[in-house]
Amino acid sequence: MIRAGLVGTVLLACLIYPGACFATSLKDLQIAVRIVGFLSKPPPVGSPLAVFFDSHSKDSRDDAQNIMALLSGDADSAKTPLMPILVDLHNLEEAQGARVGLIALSSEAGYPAILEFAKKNAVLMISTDPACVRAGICTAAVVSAPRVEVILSRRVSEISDVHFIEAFRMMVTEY
Amino acid sequence: MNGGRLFVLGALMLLPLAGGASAQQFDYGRYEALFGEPVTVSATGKPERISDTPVIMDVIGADDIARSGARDIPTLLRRLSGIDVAHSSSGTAETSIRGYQQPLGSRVMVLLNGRQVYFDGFGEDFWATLPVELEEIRQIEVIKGSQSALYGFNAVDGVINIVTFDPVDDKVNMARARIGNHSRRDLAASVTQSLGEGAGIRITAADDHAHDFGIINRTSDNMAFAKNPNRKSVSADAGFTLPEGGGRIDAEAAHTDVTMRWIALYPFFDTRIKTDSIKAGYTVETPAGQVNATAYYTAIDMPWVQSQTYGTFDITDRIAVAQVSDLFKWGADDSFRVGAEGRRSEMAAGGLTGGGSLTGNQTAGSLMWEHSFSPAVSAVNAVRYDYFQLERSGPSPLADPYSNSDYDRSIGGVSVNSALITKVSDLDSLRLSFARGLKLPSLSDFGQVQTYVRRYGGFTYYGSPYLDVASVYDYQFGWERKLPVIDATMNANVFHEMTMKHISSPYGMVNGVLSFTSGMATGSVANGLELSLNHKTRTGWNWGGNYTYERLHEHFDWGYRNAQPTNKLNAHLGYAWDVWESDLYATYVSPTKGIVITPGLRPKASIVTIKDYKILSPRVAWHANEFVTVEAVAENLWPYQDSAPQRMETSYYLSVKVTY
Repeated sequence: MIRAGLVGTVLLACLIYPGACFATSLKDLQIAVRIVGFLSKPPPVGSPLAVFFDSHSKDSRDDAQNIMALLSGDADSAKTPLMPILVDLHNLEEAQGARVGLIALSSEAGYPAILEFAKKNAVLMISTDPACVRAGICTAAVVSAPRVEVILSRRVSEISDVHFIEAFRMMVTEY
Repeated sequence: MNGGRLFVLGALMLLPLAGGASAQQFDYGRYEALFGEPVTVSATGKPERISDTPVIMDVIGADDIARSGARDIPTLLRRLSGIDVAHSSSGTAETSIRGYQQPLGSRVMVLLNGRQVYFDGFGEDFWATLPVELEEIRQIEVIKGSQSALYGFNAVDGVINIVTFDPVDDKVNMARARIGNHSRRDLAASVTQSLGEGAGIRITAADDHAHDFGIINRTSDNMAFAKNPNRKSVSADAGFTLPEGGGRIDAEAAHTDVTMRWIALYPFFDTRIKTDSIKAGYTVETPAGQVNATAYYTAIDMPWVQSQTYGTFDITDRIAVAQVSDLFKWGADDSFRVGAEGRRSEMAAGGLTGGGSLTGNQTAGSLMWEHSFSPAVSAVNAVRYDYFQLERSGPSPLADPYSNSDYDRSIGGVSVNSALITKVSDLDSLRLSFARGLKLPSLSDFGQVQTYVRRYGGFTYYGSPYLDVASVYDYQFGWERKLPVIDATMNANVFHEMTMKHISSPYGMVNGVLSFTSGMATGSVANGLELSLNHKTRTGWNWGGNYTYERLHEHFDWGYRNAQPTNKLNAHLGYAWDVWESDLYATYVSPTKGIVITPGLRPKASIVTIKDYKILSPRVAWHANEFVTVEAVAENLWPYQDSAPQRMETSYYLSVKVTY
């Protein structure tokens, strides 16, 4: 009875605040950060890790803040040797120098700009939404539950000149 | 796919060689951290998650080993379904996968980081000679069924690949002391040292000693032979990552010096085995894929073998192997591995080969293709051609019916593997496989020439250079189901294996008669079922169990059916809390039969029943702090007998381990 009540409350909260239910999780981020190490040419330590968000979307802004908090370096965080920076999709110049980008959820409006930026600057674009890869926008999508999955777009990988090592490609799903 | 890949593919196909899988160059740790489950390259030759492999296999992880209370690898293996272990002395054990237990001509290929430790001379896996301590092991991969298409001759019943921690990324720093009854006194230490960015070395040394026990064969003066199972081992394992994507170099060197009593059927040998090995590998990412080149050399010296049946003799064995492979993905759904391998094995033994040397030169070419039909369905196909040339040089004994030119023979054969996995739901996976494997006679099967001592008949035993490879056909079906409610995994496997011919060895029993020569005759069929259920956690309750049912039908009585237990049951229950761990391992094995040989001018062989037995092994561990662990183990609370000549008595021991 109590459990049913809790589930109902969570569902109600999701209806009112959808962003609260679709935030990038710590485990998603840990996977996203780890796959960077399997690039054939990994970015130098300390180079920027751009967290892209759509400033016109509250859910996107919230998820970007959530990602930044999870990357903050606390004990429970997703540790990365890169330097996380927030980048508004409407001001992509701020991401100059970044070779890896994490796309906050609910940033679909900025997908065309993301793809253009990735092509121009050879940026690995990672999302936690597999639809982003299937749409040919992101290079990689990560899923942490119920099973860890990594999905790569060969087309985006080619056009943005971002390549993973052979052994890694054999262990993930490619489109 | 580009022209470069096509060129490499073509060039490798033209080579008269082709190769086996290497392991250490693959970054197990990083992939395991990413996917949250063990990964392997041993199953098909390409990297994959254990849950994705179409091959039926078991993995014993470092956590399993730490909680096992085991001192050696056979003890760990016998707790798996489908694995049989029979002790040939207090310190040696024969291990088989799905039957065909025999002391010579093992049908299981054992590898240490991809390096063969299988002794070509006898076709034997001498576990004590492995230069590895359990604390160094990341995982032991047990692949069931024929794997000749990947590993070549002799991997006909399966492969056991021991993968150690990476000296670059994994720090293994420990010192361990163990004491126990039977005068047990084991010492081991391992140190890992960084050699700069992306480079490291691990050095391990061990000295094990115990008094021999449990010998049942007490014929005449033979007790004077009995040697204690002593072992000294030192090994170094290093890795160097070259800057700017220049690849990685791996290097290993090891020396072991072992004395032991060892039994081939009933008569026993006392021997000292000195093993030296060196291995180097280079792996690099190229536009043509991941290219690996590996070479290793193993020297085995037995300066003396005191045998009940043959008297005293010595053996030297040299194995040199070179392998090259290219692993690449073509498009989104197809992966390939092209390999080439060259191998030279030379055995010289004053007494065992009539003063001559036997040499086997082997070349092979292999191709693996894996196709993913969808994220839920994939299949792998592998084919390998092996070509073996036999030679003999040196003097021949007068009584030898064969001259050196009789040994100028060559044998070739094709091995095949096909396997498919389909994930029918988020919880269920089905695996289906077919394989054709090839068993090559050992060098001693081909060319052993020895005269038995008078008490064992005084006959001269001859191998035969005219032996051929024996083919094995293997069919398997497996069902894996995750049970989230109890956080466990269930596996059910059935198998059907046909061996077309068997190779007889000296002092084998064929149709109830003692065999004194090498030969080949009709084969056998093995059918079986394996069930397992396991729940693994680091804290709280940890439990599991498995059951194996197997029946062997022989067209000729080779003794394999007698040696095969029909039913085997393993169970484990453990609990970890705070700084304590407690575990209990139980095994039941149904009755088998063994051979007892009575010496005389006409030696007599008789079949004896080996009663069913139970093994109960409890352990308790206390983590005094983050560095020190104290462990108390009773290896088997009740003495038991798993072979005709050896009785395993209760062993107690206490160990203190410091890790830092």
